[in-house]
Amino acid sequence: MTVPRLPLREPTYFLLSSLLDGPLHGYAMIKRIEALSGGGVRLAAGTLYSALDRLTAENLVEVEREETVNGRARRYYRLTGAGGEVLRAEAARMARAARVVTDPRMRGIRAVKPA
Amino acid sequence: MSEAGRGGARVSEPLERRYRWLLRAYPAPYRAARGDELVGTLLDLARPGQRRPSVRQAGAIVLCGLRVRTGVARPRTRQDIWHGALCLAVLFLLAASTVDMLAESVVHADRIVLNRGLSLGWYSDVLYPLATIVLATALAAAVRARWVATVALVTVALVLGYWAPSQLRFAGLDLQPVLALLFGLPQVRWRTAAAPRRRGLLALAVVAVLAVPTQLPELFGPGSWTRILWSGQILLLLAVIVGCLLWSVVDARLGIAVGCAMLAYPVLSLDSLAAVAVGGGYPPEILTAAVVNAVVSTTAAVVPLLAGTLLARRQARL
Repeated sequence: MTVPRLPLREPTYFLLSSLLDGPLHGYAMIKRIEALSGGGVRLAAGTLYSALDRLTAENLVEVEREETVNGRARRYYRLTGAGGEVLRAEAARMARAARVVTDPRMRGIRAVKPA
Repeated sequence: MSEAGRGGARVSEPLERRYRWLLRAYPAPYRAARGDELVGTLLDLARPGQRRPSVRQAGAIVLCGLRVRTGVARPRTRQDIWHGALCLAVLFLLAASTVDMLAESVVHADRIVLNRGLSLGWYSDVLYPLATIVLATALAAAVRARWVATVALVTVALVLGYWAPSQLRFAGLDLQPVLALLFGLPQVRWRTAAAPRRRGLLALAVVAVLAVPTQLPELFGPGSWTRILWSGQILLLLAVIVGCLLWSVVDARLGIAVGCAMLAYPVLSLDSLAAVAVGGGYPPEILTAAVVNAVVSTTAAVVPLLAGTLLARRQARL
């Protein structure tokens, strides 16, 4: 198992986020990712499954159950504990970075006193 | 939800068949594990009444399949891609140098056998086979990711080349090993273990023998068909570069590696162009040929390098 490096890339971030509210299958994940990213991230099916392979190998995502609907095989994926931790760490990192812009007090910190 | 999803199973049949045909780009074990699930998701994503995949969708399926097939879909950052690309560049350069030296050995042995007067002394008689062995061993070490040994052996080859008589200076024992050393040194620290598989090695050897310009045509008479056939070698080399450029869409490492490995050619051609331009007194057709040579060789190195760099950014996104 490899340890994911922060920062997460945008598609990975939204893929993990799509599973926050519960397990989803591939099609639902693609639609949820598109909605969460405001249409900014549109994953092709092949790209999604390559990412799922990687995230499963990294123990960030796991298969919850398999079922057949209308004759089609479906696997539902869920976030693991490690996946949730990585996602929260990334969200906190981005929030800190955003505060540099949104919070004037953050900009008040000076490493070097002005002359 | 697609029409098929609403019970239009008959409408989705040709679409499903086409998706399954495209999925052949994936390796069989992957299809066995994921094929039904992937097809199910693709059918869910299909528009109502859709009977064939769009060009974009078909391209994406084939591309992802080829990436899985070639092992490129493994977790990779841009850094990993560059490390792997430079490792491949070292392999290309050492393969080219080895083939170049092997050809020199054959041509030189031929000269000695046919006309002993052409021997350039014991050093050069020994240099060719010795340098071939050293470079081949360096290539074998690089394939096995023994980077310290690779660097040491390439240094030995360069030392051999440095003491060689001036008439023996050529790319095989000059610029290509210098570049191999340049790209091989950081591998000692990175410990890149991207040795190609057996089939990849075989392809590398065949391409190196056929496409690398060497002295081998000298073995044949000026009018022989072999030599005429060989005159089209530059087209083969360009075809190989274009092929690598196209394959960069699947694996950006190849474009970067070919660009880096080709760097010796623009350096040599620009050097020739400078000599012609500064020297003066050359007929205009010589100058034109030097300019064309410089432009073609620079393009052949820069375009794959740039394409690989841009595609690496894209491929490291997910």
